[in-house]
Amino acid sequence: MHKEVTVKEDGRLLVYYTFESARASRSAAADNAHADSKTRAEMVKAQNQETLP
Amino acid sequence: MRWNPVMAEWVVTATHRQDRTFLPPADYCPLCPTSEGGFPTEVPRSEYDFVVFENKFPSLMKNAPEPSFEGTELFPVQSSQGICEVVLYSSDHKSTLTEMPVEKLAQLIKVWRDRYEQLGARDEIRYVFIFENKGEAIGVTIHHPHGQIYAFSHMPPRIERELQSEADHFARTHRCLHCDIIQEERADGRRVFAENDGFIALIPFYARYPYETHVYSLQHLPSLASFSEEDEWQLANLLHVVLNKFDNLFGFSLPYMMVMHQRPTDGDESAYPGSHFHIEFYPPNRTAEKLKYLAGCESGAGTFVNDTLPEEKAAELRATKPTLEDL
Repeated sequence: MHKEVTVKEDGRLLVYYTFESARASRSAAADNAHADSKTRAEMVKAQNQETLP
Repeated sequence: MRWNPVMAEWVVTATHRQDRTFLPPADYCPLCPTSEGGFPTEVPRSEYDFVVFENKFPSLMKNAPEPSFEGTELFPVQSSQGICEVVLYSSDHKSTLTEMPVEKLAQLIKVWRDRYEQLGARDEIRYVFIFENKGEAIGVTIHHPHGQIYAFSHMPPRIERELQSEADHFARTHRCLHCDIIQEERADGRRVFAENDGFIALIPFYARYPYETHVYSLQHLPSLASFSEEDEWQLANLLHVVLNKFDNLFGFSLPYMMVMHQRPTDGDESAYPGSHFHIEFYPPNRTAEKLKYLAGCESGAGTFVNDTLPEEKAAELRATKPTLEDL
C-alpha cells in the first residue's frame, strides 16, 4: 500500500492510497490502450497509403 | 454539542450541514476525479484507487468553535470536537462495494485499518466509527461510492451501552460476550447464512431489521489493528458474498447502513477486554417494495418491532446466490 498525504488549499487533509496490483493493472491497461491506438494509427496510415493515388 | 439531560446523551448541532451538496447530477459529482478541463472536484487528480479526505461539511471538527450558546447547569454545552472523513472507494462513479472484486475489498480493509490507527492515535479521539450509508432510502445525498468515518472525542451512546454490556458479561463470566454470541449462533445454525475460515455472517437472534446482518470475526479480534493479512482477505471474501446476496435478494442494489464496531481508542485491550470486531448492516427493506420505518414505537419508546423472524430471513439469504463455493 502506497500512501500519499497532502493538504487541500483550504487546509483539509487529503490522502491518496494506491495499491501495487491496481497500479500494475492500470499501467497495463494504459499500455494496451497505447498499443491499441498505435495499432489503429498504423492501420489508418496503412489504409491511407493503400488509397493514395 | 448540547447535553440532553433526559436521555443522558450529547446531541451534535451542525447547522452548516444544511447547505451540503444534495443529489448532484452525475456530471457534477464532487467525489469524481477532476477531469482535464472539467470543474474541480474534491480530488484534484484524474484517477485514484482510494482517497480519504476531511469532510467539507463536518459534524465534528478538529478545531471546533466554542458553542454559540452559553450552557447552564441543566443544559451543558460543549464544542463538537472530533474529525469527520470521507472514504472514496473508487474513481468510478457508478460502482458499488458489491461490484468490487475481493482483492479491492481487501485493499479497502487496509485503508480502513490505517484510518482507525491514525485517527485513534490522537489523544482527543475516543472512538473511531467507520460507516457507510448506501441508497436514497437511507438519505444518501451523493451517489458516488463512498463511506465515512467519524472520530469521536466523546463515546457515542449506543457504543457506550454496548461497552457496558460487554464489561458486565466479562465481569460475570470472564468471557467475551460476542464470542459467546457466535458460539450460540453457530450451535443453533438457523440464523447463520455464510461463513468462511475467518468470519461469519448471521442475522442475530435479536435483529431489529428484517435483514439486519452482523459479520463477526470468528477469532477474538478486538479491532482492525489486530488483523493479519489472512484476516483481511477472509473478511473481504465474506463481505463480497454478503453484499452480492443483498443485491440478488430482490434483484436491485439493496440500500443499507453499514457500521463497524470495534475497540475504543482511548484504552488498550485490558481496558476493553470484551471488544470484538464486527460489522453490522441495517438494510431498511422488509420486502422489495416496503421499507421499515423508525416510527412511533421505535423513535418514541426505543423498542423495535420486527415484523419478521430472523430464522426465516436468514434462510432466504442462505438460499440466495452466491455462496462461498460460487466464487
